[in-house]
Amino acid sequence: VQLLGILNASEQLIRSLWKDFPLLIQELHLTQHSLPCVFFLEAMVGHQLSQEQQSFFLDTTRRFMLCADSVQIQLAPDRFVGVCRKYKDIHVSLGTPRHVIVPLQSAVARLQPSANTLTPLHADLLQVCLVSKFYGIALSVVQQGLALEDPKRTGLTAKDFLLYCYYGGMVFLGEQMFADALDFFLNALTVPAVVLSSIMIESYKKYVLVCLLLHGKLDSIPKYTSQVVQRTIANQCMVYMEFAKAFSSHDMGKLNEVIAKYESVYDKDHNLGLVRQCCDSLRKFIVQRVTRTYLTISLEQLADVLKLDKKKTEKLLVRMIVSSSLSGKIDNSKGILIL
Amino acid sequence: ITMSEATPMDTATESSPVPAEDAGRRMATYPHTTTVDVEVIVGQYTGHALVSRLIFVAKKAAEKQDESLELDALKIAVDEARKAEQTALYTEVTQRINGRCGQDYVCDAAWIERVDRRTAQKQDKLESELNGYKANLIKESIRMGHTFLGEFFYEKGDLHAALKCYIRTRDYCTTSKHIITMCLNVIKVSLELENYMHVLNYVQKGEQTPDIQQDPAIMDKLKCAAGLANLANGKYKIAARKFLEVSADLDNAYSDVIAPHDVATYGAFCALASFDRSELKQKVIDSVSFRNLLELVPEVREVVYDFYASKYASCLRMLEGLKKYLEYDLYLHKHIEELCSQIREKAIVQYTIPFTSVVLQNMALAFNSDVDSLEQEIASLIAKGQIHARVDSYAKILNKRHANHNTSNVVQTGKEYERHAKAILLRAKLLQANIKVSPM
Repeated sequence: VQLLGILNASEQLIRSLWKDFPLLIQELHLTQHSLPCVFFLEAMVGHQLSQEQQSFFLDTTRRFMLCADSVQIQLAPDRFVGVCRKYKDIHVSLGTPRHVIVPLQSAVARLQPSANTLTPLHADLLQVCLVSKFYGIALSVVQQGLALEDPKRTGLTAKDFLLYCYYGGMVFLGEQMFADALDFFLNALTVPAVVLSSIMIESYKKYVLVCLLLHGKLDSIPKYTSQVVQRTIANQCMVYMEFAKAFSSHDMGKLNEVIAKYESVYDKDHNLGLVRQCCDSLRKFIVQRVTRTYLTISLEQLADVLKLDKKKTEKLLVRMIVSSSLSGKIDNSKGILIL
Repeated sequence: ITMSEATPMDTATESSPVPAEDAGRRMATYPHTTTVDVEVIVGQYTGHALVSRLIFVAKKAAEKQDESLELDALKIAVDEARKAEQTALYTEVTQRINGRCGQDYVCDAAWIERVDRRTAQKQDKLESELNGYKANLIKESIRMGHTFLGEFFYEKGDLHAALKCYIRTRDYCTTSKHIITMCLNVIKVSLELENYMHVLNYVQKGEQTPDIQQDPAIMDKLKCAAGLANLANGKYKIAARKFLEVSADLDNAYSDVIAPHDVATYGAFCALASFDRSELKQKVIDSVSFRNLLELVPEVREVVYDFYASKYASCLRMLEGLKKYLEYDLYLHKHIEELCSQIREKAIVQYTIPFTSVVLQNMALAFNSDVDSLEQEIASLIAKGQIHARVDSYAKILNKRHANHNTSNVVQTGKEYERHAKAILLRAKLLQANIKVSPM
């Protein structure tokens, strides 16, 4: 702790000497002297690095993350986080996110004061896994059920938490676990807030789509969300609200219209895949509604309502019957569905 | 039922309203349902109600390009405006006529100036009198002063000023009679301003005044006003209840707001659209007082009786006929579509109640529509949960079926609760740790 004090005091000095670090660090042992290493590496973070310096930085950081001393780095968590972030950013921009995963995992383990605590680095870990498509690792992280102990010791900020929820939701989406995804997006939305964050807006857009997919209607955000969010979030996502309205009218024609109109917007938000999944789910909801009102219905009528051709309608019905979301029989000779 | 044919429109006869004793005879006959008879309107309303209805009829007629009707209504409106010396109204109506009726009905600017000067003088006089009273601090005379001023503004057509004056009399009312007069005045002006919150407030105030329950005439007036306000707000059930409580002795007592046959029509329509069968029987068919009112509008009476007797074909046919006439009605035109569709839905639901299975062909005959559109209507009613049956679309039969109830509701609710609780705990932790999204 004394060392921390000295290092904090001489921060200016350290920053000015950043170019000499490659030599200095030869002197230091990465584990035993983790704390000074953190400071030195952090000093390098703020600067535009040349090719050689960059490769040195990457190499050192990697070794550092794999063997840093937990006790020491927990004394200066935000600096450590800053270093790891820079490392991750460089790799992502270089297009090699996979290399980050293992060091980050070890860094996370070292930063946690106790097992299963949420740290700022979890968000980064998730992001990296998503970008490199290693859903398995990400899934195990989010399913761990992380607790929110002691954010001061880990330097957790609101932004980290929001990012964690958002990326976690996306991981669940990738694994088609929609209910869990919905929970995560909702957690992102209910963070206490004084102003609206764009992460929240993105979470809300995904929340709308997943809600429609899962429940067939848009559930309102819970009452304990902050006022600011409740009042303004719908205005920010008008396109999605229109989509929700078209969906709830249970009219395939209208839905297709809205999709065609705003396709570019959905695409830009990387939500187009979700939107198409919503389309399919609306078809399923319509069919289920039909079972409540009809005993038999001709396949043509059904195809008309679903705006599909006869063959596709039949395929959809067969799929639904096989997966037991629909109980009925198709009589092909008369061309009807008997429920 | 004998219906009087529409009398040919003759401009010369419409220079003065039909006197009160003729009005009684006129009320016994109901005009032909597809044309609006301006004479009848003149016979049933006085004052502002007459003028506003005439102008509304003219506007609607202009939309439907029925020029003769429009011009007749406008001509009478001009005469009324001249008599009441309402210059603003006079200008508006003559503009609408736009010179189509000849020289008599063109805007007479000199007359307007004269009248305006006279009214300004009168206003000054009234206001100075009022100031005098205020100086004397005699409550009664201040109240009378405000009331006169309010009446003056109302006659002139300045409704907002009239309302303000009437509301000011509130502080100076001493007996219940005063309060009632004030309430009725405010209600009248608020109805014209379409400020229905005010109407309902003051109706309540009026009904709570002591001694007023003994005076049936005034209670009737208050009930009519309440009914109108609820109808305008779309609360059909409450409106129906209010209208049905009006006794048949209303006659022309409230003719500057509403006529008895209106009460009957509005009441019957709202009741048909919103009451269930038992209430309909009790309040409409068995009620002696409302029956007398319904006699004034025999066609509406037929609609009600046919509906109750399940003769849906004739009932709905007459409804269609009435619809065309009622589009010209000042209060009902906004709601007539909604009311008719509600009545139709009720008829369909009522039809299916006694059957376990219905052949859609027969039902379509009973409702004057084809099988496919009827099927659509029924499907939407089933989806809304008003019919408990299912359609066999292949054989075109409606079958009573009991829907499967979900017993997994309990498990579902339990899971929901767990999720909800976890989310709230998380938020509490965030608050505790002071993690907030705030401007950087």
